[in-house]
Amino acid sequence: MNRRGFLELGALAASSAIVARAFAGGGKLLAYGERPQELATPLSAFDQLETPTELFFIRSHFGPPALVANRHVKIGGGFVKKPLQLAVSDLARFTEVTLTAVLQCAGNGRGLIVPRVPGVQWGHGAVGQASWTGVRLRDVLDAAGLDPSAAHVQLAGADLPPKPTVPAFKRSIPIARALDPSTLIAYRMNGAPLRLAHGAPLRLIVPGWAGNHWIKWLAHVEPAAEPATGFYMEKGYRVPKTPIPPGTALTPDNSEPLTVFPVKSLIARPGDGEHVARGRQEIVGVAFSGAAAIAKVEIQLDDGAWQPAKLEGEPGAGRWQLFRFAFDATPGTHRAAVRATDAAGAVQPEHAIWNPSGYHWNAWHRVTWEVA
Amino acid sequence: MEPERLSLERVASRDVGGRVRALALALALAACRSSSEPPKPAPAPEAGVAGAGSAHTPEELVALACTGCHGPDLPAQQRLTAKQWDATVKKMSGWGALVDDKDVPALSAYLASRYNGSAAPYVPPETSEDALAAIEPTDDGAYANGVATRGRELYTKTCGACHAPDARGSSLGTNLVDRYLLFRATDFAAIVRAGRGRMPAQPLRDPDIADVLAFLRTLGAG
Repeated sequence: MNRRGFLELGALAASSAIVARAFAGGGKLLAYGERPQELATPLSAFDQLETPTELFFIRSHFGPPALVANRHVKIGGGFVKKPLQLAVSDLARFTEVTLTAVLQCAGNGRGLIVPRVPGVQWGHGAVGQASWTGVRLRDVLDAAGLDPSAAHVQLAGADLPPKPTVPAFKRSIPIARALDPSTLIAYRMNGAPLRLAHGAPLRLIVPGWAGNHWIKWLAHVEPAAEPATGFYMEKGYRVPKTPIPPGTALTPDNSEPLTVFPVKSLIARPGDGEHVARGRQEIVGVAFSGAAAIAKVEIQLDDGAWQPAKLEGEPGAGRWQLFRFAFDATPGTHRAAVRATDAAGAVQPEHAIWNPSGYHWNAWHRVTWEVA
Repeated sequence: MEPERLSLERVASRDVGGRVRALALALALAACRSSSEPPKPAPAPEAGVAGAGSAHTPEELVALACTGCHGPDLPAQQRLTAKQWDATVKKMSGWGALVDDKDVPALSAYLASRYNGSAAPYVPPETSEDALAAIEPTDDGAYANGVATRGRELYTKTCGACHAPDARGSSLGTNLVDRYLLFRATDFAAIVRAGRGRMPAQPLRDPDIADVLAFLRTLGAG
């Protein structure tokens, strides 16, 4: 195993440029955890509409279960008339759907939150966009004879906690979100069968919602009258209903489960701390919002006025577009900031809203680089 | 094995407390005695290094409390205050991290002294191998053709005291049911033979590991 995660940098007196380049990465996943795998996509990969699967970030609570190709997802509980057990091969009777969507960990950017908070200290790389192929959860629930009085769908994967004293990872989504035609049980990613690290054989796809709803190794789907209970609903994955001062604890009253990720943009290149040649240059990156399509992306170059960037790719809630901003670079140090605005009017803020677990970081992304 | 199981049940029925470490070592040593080669015990305690009454160095406390479930890179990347570290250690202790109550202040203080807001930024290393393949099944090689019935017996003698008779884990050992590692036999064998966290090295022969793997695979996915 790679041991460099234990490297102590104090002795190296790392400059911010070295750190920035390491955050940007060089075409390989970046390890925030080797066991279980907590691996981030390098920023430099965010110049593509589709994040390559081998560079797509990896995150789970307990690490993967065994790779069982015919693992069944059980559709059961008291709110279905006909419980089902479905393996990938059993899904052929449903209409196949392929869609493109951003998958972003709720904690992406946690390492940038000030004051600091505990958890995997993600930089920018716990996000990616892929095409996902599967069947609609709605169709599967219909086939199971969904009771119309169900208000939530409780979900669990096959990944077991390491000890009986560790709470199991269970989430739920409201029935409307479950019946949304974009909510899929997927078995392909970027055109190829899902890999184990990404939830094989079956995972849930919930476009626009944070990754903790995209249950990997999907094993249990249970419509219910109530939301799921337990640590990951009642304590984890919650955000303040209104902003709170740093250090304030969350309570059931002042918080709610996080769902839709907010508007955000990230610069893929130039990389922070990079040295580039003079001449015509482009600032390139991605912009996305869980709530609505991207309306505009603006670049602030060297603390000047905000200027519009060009957008590429199909707009839509929960999917990203590329932005490009071309300019003639003169020798010296340059700075850029990016902010996106979505079609619902939400504007990426200069500073992210602090919360005790560092969820949904979406401050302006800034880079500084040198032109020779 | 029965006395061990009774001890284990007593341990599991209470919060992580003062006797857990001693019981863990006793169980581990008892387990080692049933294996086919001489036992290699868990690290020998060093008196009083971590603080009043502690039997372990802070580094040992981290290894023993944390690394059964996740790698040391997770604590190393945190930049937390002493208060946050104390809360984190207590939360993990509540989830079953094996740290004696009396060692919690020393462990928290050690983590806070190294991984605080003044520490250099954490730089995540690039992965050095194909991360997707690193968790997917490999050829069983020398660990093929195990016999599950023999594996059950060996598991019960060697592993079950800590990993629980049903292999779903206990306060001492982690869950082994339906894990990807069961289909990466060489990696599995390496961990068994090297030990990890509180688990002492288990010098099992290849056929023994094959048998244990065959048994654990029968516990399979639900």
